[in-house]
Amino acid sequence: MARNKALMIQISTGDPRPIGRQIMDAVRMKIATGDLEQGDQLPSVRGLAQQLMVNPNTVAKAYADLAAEGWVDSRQGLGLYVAPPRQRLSDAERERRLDEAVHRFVHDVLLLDYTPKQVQERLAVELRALQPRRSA
Amino acid sequence: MQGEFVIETRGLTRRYGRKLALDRLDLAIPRGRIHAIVGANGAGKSTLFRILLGFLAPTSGESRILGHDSQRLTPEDRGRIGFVNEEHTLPRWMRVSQVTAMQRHQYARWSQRLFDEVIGHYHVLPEQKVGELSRGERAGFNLALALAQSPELLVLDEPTLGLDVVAKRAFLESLLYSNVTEQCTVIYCSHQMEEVERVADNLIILERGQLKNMSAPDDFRARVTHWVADVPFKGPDPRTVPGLLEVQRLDGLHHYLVLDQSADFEAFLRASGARSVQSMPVTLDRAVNAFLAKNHAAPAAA
Amino acid sequence: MRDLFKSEALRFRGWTAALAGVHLIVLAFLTRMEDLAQQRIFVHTAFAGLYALIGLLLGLFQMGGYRKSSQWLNLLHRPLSRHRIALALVSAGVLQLAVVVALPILLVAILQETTTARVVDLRHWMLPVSALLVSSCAYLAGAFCTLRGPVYAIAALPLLWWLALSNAYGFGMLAVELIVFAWFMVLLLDAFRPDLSAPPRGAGALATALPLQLGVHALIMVFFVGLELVWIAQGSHPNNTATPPAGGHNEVENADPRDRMLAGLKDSRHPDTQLLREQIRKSEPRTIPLPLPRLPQRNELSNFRLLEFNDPGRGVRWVFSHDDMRLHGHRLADGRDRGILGVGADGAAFPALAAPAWARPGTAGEDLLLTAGDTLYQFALESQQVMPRVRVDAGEVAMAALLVGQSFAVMSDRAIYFYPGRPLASKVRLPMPGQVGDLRNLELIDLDDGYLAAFVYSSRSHTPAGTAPFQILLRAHGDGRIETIHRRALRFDYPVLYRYRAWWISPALYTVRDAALDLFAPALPLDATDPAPMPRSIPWLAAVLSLLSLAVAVWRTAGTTLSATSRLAWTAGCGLFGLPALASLWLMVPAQPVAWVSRWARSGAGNVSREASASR
Repeated sequence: MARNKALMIQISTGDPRPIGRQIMDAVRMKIATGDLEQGDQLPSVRGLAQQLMVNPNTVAKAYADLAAEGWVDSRQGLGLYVAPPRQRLSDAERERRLDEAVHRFVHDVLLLDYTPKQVQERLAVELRALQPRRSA
Repeated sequence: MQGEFVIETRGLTRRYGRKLALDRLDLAIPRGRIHAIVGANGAGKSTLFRILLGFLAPTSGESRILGHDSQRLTPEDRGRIGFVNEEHTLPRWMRVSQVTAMQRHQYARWSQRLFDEVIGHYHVLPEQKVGELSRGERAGFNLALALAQSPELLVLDEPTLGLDVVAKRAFLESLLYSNVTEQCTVIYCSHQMEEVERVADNLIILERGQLKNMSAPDDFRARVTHWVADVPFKGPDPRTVPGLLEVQRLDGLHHYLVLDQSADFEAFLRASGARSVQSMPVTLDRAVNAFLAKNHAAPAAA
Repeated sequence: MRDLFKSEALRFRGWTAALAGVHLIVLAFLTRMEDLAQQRIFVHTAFAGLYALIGLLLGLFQMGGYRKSSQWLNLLHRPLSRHRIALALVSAGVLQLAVVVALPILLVAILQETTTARVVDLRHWMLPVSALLVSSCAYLAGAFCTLRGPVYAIAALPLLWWLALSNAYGFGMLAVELIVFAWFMVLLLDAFRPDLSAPPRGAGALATALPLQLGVHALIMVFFVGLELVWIAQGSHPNNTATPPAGGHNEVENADPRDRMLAGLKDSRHPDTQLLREQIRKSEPRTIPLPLPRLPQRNELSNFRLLEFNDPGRGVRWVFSHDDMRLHGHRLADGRDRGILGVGADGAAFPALAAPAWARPGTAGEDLLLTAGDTLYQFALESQQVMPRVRVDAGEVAMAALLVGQSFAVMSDRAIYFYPGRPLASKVRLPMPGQVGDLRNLELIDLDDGYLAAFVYSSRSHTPAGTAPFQILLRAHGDGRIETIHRRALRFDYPVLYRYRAWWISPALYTVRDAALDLFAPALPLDATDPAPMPRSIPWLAAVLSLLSLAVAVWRTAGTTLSATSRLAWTAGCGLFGLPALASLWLMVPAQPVAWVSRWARSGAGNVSREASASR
């Protein structure tokens, strides 16, 4: 069942992340937290560009990247729909990305002077917050 | 004539006495999309447009707009180029409806639908005199007139300068809502990086009459990185720092903004005695400002 | 284009209505007191000056509003050719002037024609047209100077001054006004370009260069006036020395009439010299006021002389009408019509314009005299008829009537006719020994038998057109015999360089200027002179200056990007027109070459895009 759902995301110009990246991150977060369910239709490129007051090309590129990563499907003449969750990456790729993310995380929190236990607890809290709403 | 470039200049130079407003500028702006031109005051933007539209002769070099020589534009050529500047010059004694009618008669491809769409963002009544409109309303009216001409090329030279926040937002909204880029190439000149970031497909940076950058905004932003290092004493001589745009000393730490430097920069800093080194990306605003400020910070540096 | 015209017309409607109203009220008010059509030239000139000022201000204001670069861009960046934009603006401007300047005059003329008995000739209907043209020329001048820059006022002023100084009359004057208007349009259209800093080009350059050079010429003349003031202050100027230079014309001009006549006999070897000296000493010489009043021209727009006179006994004013060549009378008290007066009982038209001749002194209330063509007429107050009295020789024009002692005399442009008061004496014709344009002083004495006339010819001896000054005494005997008593040459008081200063700066411009001022002008007898031969040094000086200008022009044009033909034209022009042309070259052709467009190679365009992307 396809419903056209409002996309409640914000972008900000003072952010080091480019606007396209902000859109992508926001859409991925919405999908991950369950605000956007499988089969929901994303707003049209024009519509989202008008809503966010940005160049439509930026939105188009973000959408294209999301489709390339498999988060959304493009249906001919109808628009973009949230794709069913599936593993889009190979195991090796997943492993590599997890390593990278862990490396980065550890590196970033290293100087903050928390104990590993405190960091782990914090991480557990975050992951738990994501967990229940994620559709299997 | 659908040429590849809407604006081309070759060796364009304009001299005022001893000052060079444009210095052998080579610029080629391709058709389609929104191009933002950014530069400090005196970077040559206004001079460039006056030459491109034939209102000023260059000291040397050539310029073409929509494939036609700038100094020989015909009325038909002018009918395909829209121009909006910060003063939003309109005859103050005329009514809105009269000015609209005059434009409608002059431009063959007038789109009343587009005009109504854009003017709908503003509280402008047809019977009002132009002199009675607020600055923001005049800007909106001017934009509506320019867009409704259905130009092939639309040049906006600091169109939101002097407008209040509400009017600025309304202007940008009406520009983006109009989906103007479907038929026309837009050149957007502005100091406001916030607007540029939202609107630009292509970022052109002019500085002292020369072209300094032409790329997607994000590509440019990615070239600049912010490094924070704990370097003892005065740190490395700024002239030896590769790609240096800006250096500040805050709370005993050195903050470097550098251009086109990879992770090897960390090695450089450590070699200079830095005990801890961190880097992060910058906002577009910061990147552009640092890039433009470079010439003022260290004029002797290459 | 029509939209732009309407927009511009709307812009000024408030001011136009107000000024038109004020103008109409002022004219209506003045008309009630005076016949505005029958005013002397200086009144009309003052009004013309005012209208020109209004036009100038409109031009400055209208174009000034567009001069700012963002306004100019907005005006010219549209799918309308620059000529049509200019035409729309100018049409709107001229329309405003038509309403403010011409319309009130026209309305007052209609008022005068329909409600009064005053004379309203065709020439008067031409006045609103002339006013509009003068005002429009000043308007275009203001617009032109606003666009090109204040320095180009040097080019605009000679054209406007042409209107003021032209010798043309009536329709000829209108033609000159039209030419100046057209000239200004050419100048304005050349200036009306997107790039306002571009110098004049092509036909526009030619049209700008000539007035500019005339303007420079005029400025040089002004500079010379300054020098002359210094000369005066220094005390050696011939006009201002305590005693005028001996033997020169100033000495004679400033002398007492008797002394002047006596001076005429200086070194005379005529046998009657001593006798005549005594005669002069005991007589009262009659000095003729010179210069003679201008001749009225048919259909002249204004009046150098008022062709009207009053009959005080009956309280009637008679005004001459150019249209039917007759006198129209109206009552002074209430303005009611008093009929039309022609020549003779059947009221025939006058053969030429009739002007009051000088009344005989002491004859107030008696018959009035009129001159028209070659005839002197008398208006008999008793019979209320005009009859011809005296006729001068064919081909001459009767100028004035006067009393000399007991005799009555009539002056034409070439002779003096004496009608002795003695019975049985016949008329005596004394031909004038020089050109009337050179005549400076004239004294007459009525002798027992005949007349003695002393002529001084030097009025234009300080200009290139003047004669070599001389004084001559003639005696006319009662039997008609004319005898030259003595002729003596006078010295030029002014040095050669001063006298020919207008000429040697640029002979070509001097000729052009004269030709322009005489364009459509009638040949007037009062302007005839007998020019003295030009001393050889002057043409040499002019030639030297021309060569100098040529040389400098060659040097100067070498540093610019003018085409070969332009360079040739400028160099030839500087050689022909001298120093003023050099000044205009300096002004109009920038030293720094401006890049006009050269060919754009298509392959070159392709390279640029690759270079641009590589610059990242």
